[in-house]
Order: sequence, then C-alpha cells, then structure tokens
Amino acid sequence: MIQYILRRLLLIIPVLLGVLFLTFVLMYLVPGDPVLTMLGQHADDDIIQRMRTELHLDDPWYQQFFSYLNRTIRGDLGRSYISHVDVTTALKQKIPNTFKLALAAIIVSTIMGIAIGIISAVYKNSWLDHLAMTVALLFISTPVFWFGMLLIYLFSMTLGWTPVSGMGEGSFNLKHLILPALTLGSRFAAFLARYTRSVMLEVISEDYIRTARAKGVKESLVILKHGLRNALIPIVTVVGMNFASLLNGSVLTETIFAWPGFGRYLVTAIKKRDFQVIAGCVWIGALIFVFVNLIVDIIYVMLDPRISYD
Amino acid sequence: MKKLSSLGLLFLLILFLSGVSQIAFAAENPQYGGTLHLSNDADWDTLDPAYASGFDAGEMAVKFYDGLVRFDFSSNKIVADLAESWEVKNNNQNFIFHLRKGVKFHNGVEFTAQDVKYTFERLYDPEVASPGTWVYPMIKGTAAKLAGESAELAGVKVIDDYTIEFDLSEPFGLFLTHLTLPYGLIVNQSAVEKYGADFSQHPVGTGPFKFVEWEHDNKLVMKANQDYWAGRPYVDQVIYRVIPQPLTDIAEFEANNLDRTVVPEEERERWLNDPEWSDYITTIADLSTYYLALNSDFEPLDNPQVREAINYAIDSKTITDSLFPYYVAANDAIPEGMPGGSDLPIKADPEKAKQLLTEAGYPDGFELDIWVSDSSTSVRVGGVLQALLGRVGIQVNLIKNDWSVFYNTVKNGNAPAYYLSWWADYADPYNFLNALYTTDRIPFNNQEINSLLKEMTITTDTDQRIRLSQQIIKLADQVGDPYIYLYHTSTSYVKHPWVKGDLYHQMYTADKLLTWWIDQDLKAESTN
Repeated sequence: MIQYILRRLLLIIPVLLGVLFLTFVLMYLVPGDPVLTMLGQHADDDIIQRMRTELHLDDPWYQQFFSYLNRTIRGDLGRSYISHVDVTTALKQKIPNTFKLALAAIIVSTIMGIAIGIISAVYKNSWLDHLAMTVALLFISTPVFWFGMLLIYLFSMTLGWTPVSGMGEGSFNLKHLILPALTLGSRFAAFLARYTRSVMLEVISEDYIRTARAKGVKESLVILKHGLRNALIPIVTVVGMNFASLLNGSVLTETIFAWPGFGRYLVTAIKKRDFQVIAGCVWIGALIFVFVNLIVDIIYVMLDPRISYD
Repeated sequence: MKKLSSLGLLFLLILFLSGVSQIAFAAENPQYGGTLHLSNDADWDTLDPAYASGFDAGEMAVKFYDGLVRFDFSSNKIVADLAESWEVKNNNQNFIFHLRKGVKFHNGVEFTAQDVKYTFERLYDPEVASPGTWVYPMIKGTAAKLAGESAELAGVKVIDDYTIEFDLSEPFGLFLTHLTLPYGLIVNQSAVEKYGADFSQHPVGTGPFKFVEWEHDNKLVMKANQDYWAGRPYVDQVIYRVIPQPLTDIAEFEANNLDRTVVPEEERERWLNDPEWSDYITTIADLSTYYLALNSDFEPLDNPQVREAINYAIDSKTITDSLFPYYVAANDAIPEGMPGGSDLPIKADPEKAKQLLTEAGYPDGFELDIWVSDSSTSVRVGGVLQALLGRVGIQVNLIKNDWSVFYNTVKNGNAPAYYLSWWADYADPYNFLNALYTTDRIPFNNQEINSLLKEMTITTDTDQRIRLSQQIIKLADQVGDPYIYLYHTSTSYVKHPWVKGDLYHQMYTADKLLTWWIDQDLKAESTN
C-alpha cells in the first residue's frame, strides 16, 4: 500500500507539469491582453509596449514557461499583473475559504443525498419514492443563482434566521455558512439521491441480501450493513470527484453570497487575462484534484478489503 | 413607461440645475463616532496611486492620500488640498505651489516638497511602469525620465521644503485639473521603499483615513486619521465590503448591514416609487457617454454619407425608452449638465437614412459587423441597434466577446463598428472630445478639430472653452461623425435615515468621506 501511495505521489509530478504546459499553451493561444485590461482606454502604444516588456509578455511562450517553472519549483507563484499581490499569499487566503464552503456543502449533500436515496430504494415505487425523486429532479433542474437568491429572500430577508452574505467575523462562522452550503450542495444532493437509489436497487436485488433476509437478519441491518456498505464504492467515487470539483471553487455561489473563494479569484483572473494568477490557480487546482483522487482510492481499500494495491 | 421616463428626466434635470454634487447637509450638529458600512461590486485592483487606473482604485485611494489640489465637495471647482495656494505664471506654463506646513504622513513622517518631487519622479520611473504616464507628459523631462536617460524630472523643482515648481514644456490650462487625478496623490518615499512591491497593500498617505485591513475580495477596513490636517473625519471607522451581486448588495442594505448603496438598475423603478425609501434616494447624472463607433477603414463606413445614414437610422430615444428609462438620450458626446454640449437634435429619421443610403449607392443596405462585449447591457443595446438598423436595410451581425478579446480587437482597429463608452477622468468637455477624436481605435484625423482641441488645452477661459467644444461637435457632425451617441447614464443611491452629510459628486475622486456622519441615536432606534 505504502509503495502504491509513493508511486501515485511520484506520478503527480508529470501530471502537474502536463497541466502547467497545457495552461501556458492555451493562454498563449487565447486572444486578449492583460496590459490592455490594466491600462484601460488610455493605453497608448508606448505605454503598452513598455508594460509588456516589463512583464516579459513579449518573450516567447516557452521562455515564459521555463521561467515560470523555475520560479514555481522554488515555491514562488509570482505576482498578479493587475493587483501586484503575491499569488501564494492570495491563495493562502482563498483556499481555506473555499475548503470551508466545499466541506460544508459536501457534508450536507452527502447526508441528504444518501439518506433520500436509501429511502427511495427501500420504498421503491411508493408515494415516498415518487415524491423524493420528483424533488430531486426539481433541485437538479433549479439554477443555482435563482435558488441562492430564493434562500436569501426566505431565510435572511423574511425570517431573519441567517445572514444575507459574507463570511462573518472570525475564522469560522456557522450561521454564514448555512445558505451558501445549501445552495452549493442542493444540486449534488439531488443527483446523489438518484444515484444512491439506483445503486442500492441493484445491490438489494443481489443473492447475498436475499440470503441475509432468509437468515432473519433485521431489515435495517440488511439495508445499512449489507446493502449500503456494498453500494458505497461507486458512491464514494462520485462524492470524491464532486468534492475535488467543489474545492476548485464555485463561482456562482461565491458571487451570490460574496464569499471570497478560489472560484471567484480564478474567474476574475481569466477575465482580466492575469496569467500569473491563472497559472497559480490551475496548478493548485490540479494538485487538489490529484490528492483527492488518491484519498478516494485509499478509502476503497478501507471499504472493501478485497481491493488491494500491492 | 413613457411617464416614468419623463419623470426620470425631470429628476435628472433638477439635479443638473442644482449643481454637480449634493451633500445631504442636515440642520443637526454632526456627531463623531460610529462605523460606516459601505460596499463595492469588485475588489480594488490597487491602493497604490501610481497604478490607480480604474475608477474603483482612484475612488478608494483618495481616502488614504491627498493631492496638491482636489475637487470642491459641492462643485467641480478645484480647491486647495496639500497645496495651500499656488501661482500660475507664463500663460499656464509654470505652476508654483506653496505647501501646507505641519502635515504628517500616516507613518509620522512630515510632508515636504521632496515628497511631491518623489511622487512625480516615481510615476515616470521606467521600472515602476505606471499606467498613468499619459497624465503629465507636459511636465518638462518626463520623456527623458521615462526613457531612463535622466534620474530626475527636470520640470519638477523643489524651491524649499514647502514650495515646489512645475515647469511645463508648453502652456496647459488643464494642469490643475490633471492634478486631481489619482496619479497625482502624494506618496512618501520611505513608506514606498519600506513596503516595496507590497506598497499597494499598505497605503501610507496624508489622507483622512488610515489603513487597517484589506482582505481581498472580502473587505477593506480603514480608521479615522485623528491628526488629519483638515480635522478628523466624523466616523471612527469605515468598512467596505466586496459584494459582486447587486441583488445581494441591496438585500444587505435592507438587512441594515450597509448604510448606503447603489440601487440595482433592474430594481430602480420599484425603489424610486417606494414611499418608504423615495426620500432617501439620490440620483446623480454620471459623466458618461455610450456610443456606437464606426471605423472608416472598413467599407462602406469610409463614406461620410453612409455614417450619416446610420446616425439617422438610430434613434437614441428609442434605446433609452425601451431599455433605460432613467438615462438620458444623447445628441452629442457631452453628458447633460456639463458645459460645452451642443444644441444638435437627435437624428431619428429612417426615411432620411434610406435616402442617404440610396444616394451613397447602397439602396438595399449592406452587412455590418458590430462588436460588443459580453455584458448583458451590451448585448441588449446590440439587439436594439440590430433592430433599428434593420429597418433601413442594414443587416447587423452582433459579434459578442469577453471584454479582453473585445477590447483587443477594438484597440487594434479590427472592429468595423463597436459599442463602447467613455467615462470622464475629470469634468471637462476636453476630456471627452480629445479621447474620442484623437484615438487610434478609429482613423479619424481632422486637422481643424485637432487644432481646436489644441486651443482647448491652452485656454482657461470658460466661455471660450464652451465655444470651442461646441465648434468641435458641430464640425464632427458636418464631416460625418464616426460616433453615434446613444445615451448618458445616471446612478441612484439609497441610504438609511441615520446617514447624514453623505456626499454625491460626479467626480469619483471627490469624496474623501470627510462630511459623512452617523446619527447614532436614530440608528439605535431604527435598528432595535
């Protein structure tokens, strides 16, 4: 197992290099210019040229790539072209914010999604199943933006139970987390409910479930211990992938709730063609994805002893 | 809709007639203390004046820094700031400023003429690569300094610790106005050197507020400078939050978490007609002009008759009536209320447009690519332009791109027609006319207009400036104006009743938050 983990960790290096290379090539190909964004309509050719030289934007892309690589290996992600803020410092602020939101959303959506999925599977074709699946379909089809604004109107403006937006004071403020987590998690909860139902239906029609029931094992044990445990592997994969994607930021939710996270930071940088920030975000985002993937693979072994990486 | 539009216009007209800004002065005595909660829709790009190219950055920089002069709080008049007085010599070619004594930067260092010299030399330091070098090229020695040929700026001379002289290469009547721009805010050398590349994160000026904290994309906090040379601000602290979504922002206001905010465009009708809030809403005419530009490098836009036909085909009143009932339909580049505008009528005559197209050899119209950015406003305006031009046979292809691609194309002269705006750097028609008629985005080069613009840079006589501005507008119209002016915007702000002394100025650099105060008893009463 340890060897497997080491091997996977080593594989991260070519993956990250590949991601960075592709990012540079794409940035080089995509039209647009950070200098024009920075200078606005006052930009005359002299100023533009001077700034391009100062920022090394006229260097060939491969030269920019190797110079970036050289700095990054030494832990320097550079500074934003626009704000001149150190990218590493900015990411240190944004990543914990996004992590809080993603974790809360994944907890809410996983608990809700799995619970509703199991109930739907157990009471297949009952009114409860139909209701749960209709609600799930509704949530999958609901635009995030509209749902977020609706929650603000209902819980913040009308009932006054939650703050409207922001992160509040201090490092952790649960009240501020509720609405963004619900907004971000609702779609995945709905998707997970439908997915869990379908996986559970498959599992509970297996012979070993019938055997367990014939042996007189309590129904709740049959469902949770024998059924759910076996259904968990595909569910963990889906949850893991979704968590990794949430950790890479959720622009809409962050925008609605004025949440200073990774997603807004990256999208603003893309709009302004702020290459240093884009490259830093893509690099860190890829790293997060690879690590979450590795953790999911390790969880497989814990869930199913038959899986072995040795 | 028509009624609302007329009401909006009437409201704006009253604003224009009453001056360029409003301060809600109440009869009560101002109270000290309390925290003012405000918001912005985006994070600030920088707090370093040398890089403050955007309105947001400039608006924030004036809270931490002072310039030599500033705009008066209740008019567009230029008044003393760090300069106590000044002398203008040699027909606007030499400016001698007598500086205030005893003013200190936030780091405790005393402000002197050396700081002024350092600020301008830093702006033209090639290593700083400031986007603001377009502002003071008239100062002697800027080109040499920028080229790295000279360590000092020849045109900025320290006479003594409290006197400084600016020597210009030619007379420039707008020099004082240019000094109100954020690039002219005075920085302290030791603070710049101490923080280096992070200076933007640690603003140290002489301004009314001291920097406390800036969490990017979240909030910016400042506290009152108790030793401010003009007297401390009334509020103890100001917290700006970054709230990108206007509907969330207005919800925060309704939840009493913001003291004043902008009414979102789509909510304006509801708020302006709400009796609970209408007394607390102030609408101010922005110094903006939105236009459709026609690039004569592309056929048939090189034909003045075709450009005129397009002008006749587009009824700017239709655009404001259908999309923006609170904006003013434009007849020229100059925003309503700013001196220098013309009495040209809004050309809205599709039949005349068709006739001109026939005379120009395009009786069946032609295809035209209009470039717009991907903002929802641009796309909506683009749609109306498409419909209006379609009526006279011009088939419009709307080319929509994100801002960076859009502006790159426009800047390089590759867009035949594009929809864009100009927002004033300062309240003077020269700022609009020079930006529009001498740009390299379209090949418009009229010698007569250029010489009239040159005259505008020299004279400070208001009547003559107005005459010159009107002359340029009429001349451009006669030669087939490459711009079709569409509308001028306005903004409505709503505040809570406990906010007093709130300032509404057309210039983004005018408000230093010195007049604002909070009626704390009223706030406690209203929020409990």
